[in-house]
Order: sequence, then structure tokens, then C-alpha cells
Amino acid sequence: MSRKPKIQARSETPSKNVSRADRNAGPLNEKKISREPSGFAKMIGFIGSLSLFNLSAMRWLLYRPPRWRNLRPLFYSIGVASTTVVGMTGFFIGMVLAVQSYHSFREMGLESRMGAVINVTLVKELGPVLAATMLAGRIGSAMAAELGTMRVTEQIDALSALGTNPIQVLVVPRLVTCVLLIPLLTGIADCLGIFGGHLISTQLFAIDTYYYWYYTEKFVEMSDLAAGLVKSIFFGYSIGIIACHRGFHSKAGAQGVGQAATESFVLSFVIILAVDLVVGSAWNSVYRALYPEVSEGLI
Amino acid sequence: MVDDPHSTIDDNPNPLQCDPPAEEYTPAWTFSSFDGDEEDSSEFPIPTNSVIEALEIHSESDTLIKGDRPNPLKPESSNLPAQEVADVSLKIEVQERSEVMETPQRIEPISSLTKPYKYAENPVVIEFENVTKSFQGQMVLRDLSFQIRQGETVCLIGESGCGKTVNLKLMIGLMKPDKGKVSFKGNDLAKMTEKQLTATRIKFGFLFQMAALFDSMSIYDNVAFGLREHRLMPESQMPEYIRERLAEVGLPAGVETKKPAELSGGQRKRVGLARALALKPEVMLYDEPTTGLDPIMTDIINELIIQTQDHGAKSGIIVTHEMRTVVKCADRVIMLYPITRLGPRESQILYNGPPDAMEDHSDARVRQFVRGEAGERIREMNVARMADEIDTVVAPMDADDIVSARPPKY
Repeated sequence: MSRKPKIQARSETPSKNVSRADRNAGPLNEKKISREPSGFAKMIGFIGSLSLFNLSAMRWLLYRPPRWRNLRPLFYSIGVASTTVVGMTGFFIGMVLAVQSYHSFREMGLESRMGAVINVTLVKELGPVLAATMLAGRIGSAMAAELGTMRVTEQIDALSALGTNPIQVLVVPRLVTCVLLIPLLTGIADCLGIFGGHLISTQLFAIDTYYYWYYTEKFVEMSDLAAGLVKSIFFGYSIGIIACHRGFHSKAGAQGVGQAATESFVLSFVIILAVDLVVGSAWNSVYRALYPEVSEGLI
Repeated sequence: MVDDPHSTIDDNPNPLQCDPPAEEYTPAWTFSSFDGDEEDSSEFPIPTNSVIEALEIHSESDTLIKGDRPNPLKPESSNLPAQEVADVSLKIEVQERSEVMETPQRIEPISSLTKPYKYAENPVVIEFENVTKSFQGQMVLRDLSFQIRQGETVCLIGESGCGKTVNLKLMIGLMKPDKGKVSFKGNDLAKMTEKQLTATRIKFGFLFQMAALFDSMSIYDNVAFGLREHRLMPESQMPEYIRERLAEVGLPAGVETKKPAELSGGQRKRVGLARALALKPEVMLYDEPTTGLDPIMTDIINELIIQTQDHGAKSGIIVTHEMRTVVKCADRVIMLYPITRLGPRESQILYNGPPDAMEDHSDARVRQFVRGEAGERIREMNVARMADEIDTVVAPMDADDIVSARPPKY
């Protein structure tokens, strides 16, 4: 006797009077409501999600600071491994600035003051911004891709299953590393940029080394250097939080991870420029309020 | 000859020779675990005169056996078949029990008796009460209610997309239900604080589908991760403990220095199991533990699951499609069905019972799943394909086109 069961067809056989779209809709989709949010709603949702993520990271940072065991590999991958790239970036920025500004300054007979222009621009603006952009591409994308892969392969769920908080284990160490090391890397970029500018100016355009450093000392202040480094702290935090947020919210599959990495870089770049404007303006305001005589003298 | 019926088994120097097969005679008797002071005696009928008479008949037959022929439970008289030996031993047990309710004519295997479930009296560890869960408007679980008791190994089976893995993630608090309640030992997971949830999660071990090992860490660091994070063991004691855990799952020495990417799929699963077992969990959750493995490795993982349930975790929930795993490891099976294919008031649980009764279940969908038959799905697929073909015809074809459109004859 055959044990094959009699199969009764369910009432899902398409009727001739039903359109194909309705047939394909299936029983579940009958009451399906369009839930696709608008662009504005998405933006608000993203800001809210990023803010909550940020608050959670800050809470875990204060509640349980990361351990050296977790920080050490990140110090290497984010700090040591980025030194060459950032140094090269700064070096070329300095050289390009020297090349681009020399002819204009020569027409005005001010080529001996090039050191001041190159170095102020480098330490206050271009050095931190371009170093941060480079790091957003190198570190931010890598972090977003790594965390995205961890999300897709359930490693983040595994962290939770082992009784740990993924934000505490994954996000806080990365944020701390970015905040601590990106200013250092910016400093390296500044130094090599200054060296590159000096090299081109003195060796290629034969500007006197004495005047190059004389005007640099005269116009470049510690506040300019501090402004650049303070900005880089904000840049580091922005890069870290955006990369981690995008990685944590990565969609499934290779495309999702790739998209997370791209979004991380693009968003970081936009945020870097926005932070540059806001922090730069705030810094100038505070500086003028604290040292009005210096500011007037400069103006 | 032995007069005391109890001495028949106890005096046996080699009881394994005379023991009946475990799967047939372990607490198979409906009355063996029954106490007279049980409140609910609906499953245990009150003894009648005929039952008592039957008992007396059995008692006489036992005496006859003991008096007229060698004791079948003694090693020297073990020429009797195991079935008969077991019959006698159990009859003797029946004779001694005053609370016996009925006398079976034949000893049935455990699976076919309407017996009380072995773990029925154990405390509930995990409980789902009317749990509903949706993702982006698509309902995956609907009014799902079931319990997992201490000590039992439950297999959650069902088609892909019916919410099996979601169940596991709800159990451990990785997800929260939209409606209903998921509780661990009576405590609602959704109402727990982060600290309480963390303390609860440590009591679970979770073997993920793809093992979910941390790629950036070595195998040693993977297994040590939970111990370090929760500071459960000094660093000096860890190497030995971790080597023991890895040896327990059959991984050779030296593997701890490797990275997860250097291991095969089966080895990764075993490392995942070792990592979960390192925290000595009370409940083990296995998410498709044998998916993507060859039959040999599947059997090894099944054996490891049994070993874990016997010696480690007190309860186990296995999500699987592999019927060999179900048959080998499960005490109980819960079969879920996709909501999209259910009627509006139909329960999502199609089957909840022992694994060996599935094949003869009254619901054809259960039988089809066990046998791996697509059933009506094939016809639905054909209907859908035909509908597509009809829709693609936008203009009537002429005779030549119809001839050329015919499939070639082989």
C-alpha cells in the first residue's frame, strides 16, 4: 500500500477573472501598505538613529572604558598602518602649495614670504582636512566594511549572545582610537607638509631658507597649530562614529557591505567639511574673545 | 534459583548482556512513574477488578517461570531472547507495585505508547506566549505559544522562512516580539534591564549557522572571549581550559593558534560549539548546526550535540532541516509552517511531539516535510509558470511559429 499522501490543493489556484498582478500579490500582500518613507523622513530617521547610536557609544565609553587588549590591534591598524599614507599626503600637499603659490607671489615680489602662507594654510586648514579625508577613505571605509561583514555574518549577534554589548566591544575602542590617533596623524601630515613646502621653495625656487623660516615664525602661531589639531579631534570622532554606524546598519550581502563602506566615506567627507566650518568659526570666535589684542593686531 | 525477584537484575554481574535495548524499555511504562498522590489522574484509569485479576495471572506466570526453568536474568540462563527477558523483569516490577493501573498485554516501544512525556514534570525554562513578530510589514510568527522544559532537546523544524531562527533570537533576547511574551524561567525578556539581559544571555550557548567566529581573532581568543569579557577565569588558567574545550569537540592541539579562515566548515562549527560551551550554558541553541556539511561531519556534529546535552547543557533547542539530526538528537519536535501558507485561524505549529510519530501524522504537510516531498508546491509552480507563459503571448502566433515553439522531441 502506497504511503504517499493525497495532496489537496489549497484555494490558491489563480482564477481567470483575477488579474496577474493580483495573482502574484499572494495572500499576505493583500493588505500590504506602502511603507517606503520619503527622502525627508529617511533623513530625519538617519539623524535620529545616528544620535541614539552616538549617545549609546558615549554612555558605554563612560560606563566601561575600553581595555588595552582591545585597543592595541586598532592602534596598529588605524595608527601605524596609516602613517605612510598620511605622511605622503601631507608631503605632497606642502609641495603642491609651494608650486601653485610661487608664481603669484613672485609677481608681487613677495616670494620670500611664501613660508608663512604655506605653513599657515597647512597647519590650520589643508593639513587637517586632507589628512582627515584620506583617513576617512582608508580607515572609515575599512571599519564600515569590517563591521558590516560582522553584521552580515552574525558576529555582532554572537557578541550579544556571549553576554557583551557590541557597541562597547566594537564601537567604543574604534572611537577612542580615532579620537586619539587622528590628531597625531594630522601632526605627522603637517610636519611632512611643512618639509615638502620648504623643500620645493628652497631647492626648486631658490628662496632663502632664512626668510622662509623668519616669516613662518612671524605669522604662524601656536593657535593656528592648535586650531588644526582641535579640528582633527572632531574629524576623528566624526569618522569613527559614522563608519561604525554605517557598518552596524549594513544591509545583507556583498552589495550591502560595499554600500555601507561607500556611504561611510561620502558622509564622513561631507561631515568633515561641515565640522571644519563650524569648529573653525567657533575657534575664531573664542580666540577673539579670549585674546582681543592679538586678533586686532592680526587684522 | 532466586526467590527474591529483585535480585534477578541486581545480582547480574554483566547486566549489559541482559538489558533490553534502551530505546525500547526505558521508562516506557505508563504507570511506572505514576504516584498515587498525583492530583491529575485523567491519564491513569482507576484499577478495576479485571485489571487486578490480570495482575494476579501475571504474578502466577512469573512464579512459574522462576520455579520451573532457569532464571532468564542470570547470565548462565541468558539464552532467552532479550524481549522475553525484559518482559519478565517488567512483570516482576508490576507485581511489586500496588499502584499499578493497567496490565499491558504486550510491552510496546516507548514511541508508540500513549505515555506521559519524560520531561513533562520538569520546570519550564523557556516559554513563548502568543508571540507575534513581523519584519517590514511581513508577519513571520503569529500567536506562537510553546514551552521548553529543563532537560529536553527540542528540534524546531519547518520550511525556510517560517521563523525558526527568529525563534532562537527571541529566546536569547536578540530580538523583541511585537506582541506576546518570551520568558526565561518565568522572567519576561522584554522587561529585563540591559544588565539582567546580559546575565541571562550568559546562561545560553548559541551555535550560529555559520559559526560566527570573530575573524580578526585566533581560535584561542575566540574561545576565551566570553571568559575574558566576564572575567570568569584568570588568564593563567585559560590555556588548559581552552585546550580541554577544543579537545572536547574533537579539535587537535595546535588549532588554537590558527585564524577562523584557516579552518574547514566543520571545524569552524566545532570551534563555535567550544566557544559556547566555554561559558557552561544551561541552554544550548543550535541554529542549523549541520547545514553545508558532509554526511560524516553531520554525524559528528550530531554526536557532539548529544554529548553536550548529556554532559553539559541542561536543555537544547536545535533549528534544523536535517531529519537525521531530528531523529538522532530530538526528544521532541516542533514543526512550524510559514504564515503565508496558513489559513487565517490555523496554528503555526503543525506538529509538537516525539520525532518518531511524525511520519504517520494525520497532517499531510508534516508527512511531506519528513519525507522531503514537494507535494502541491510542484503543481503551484507549474500553474504559476503556465500563467507567465500565457501572459507573455501578446499576439496570436501563426502556424509556423507554433511549430517552431514546440519543444524538440528526444
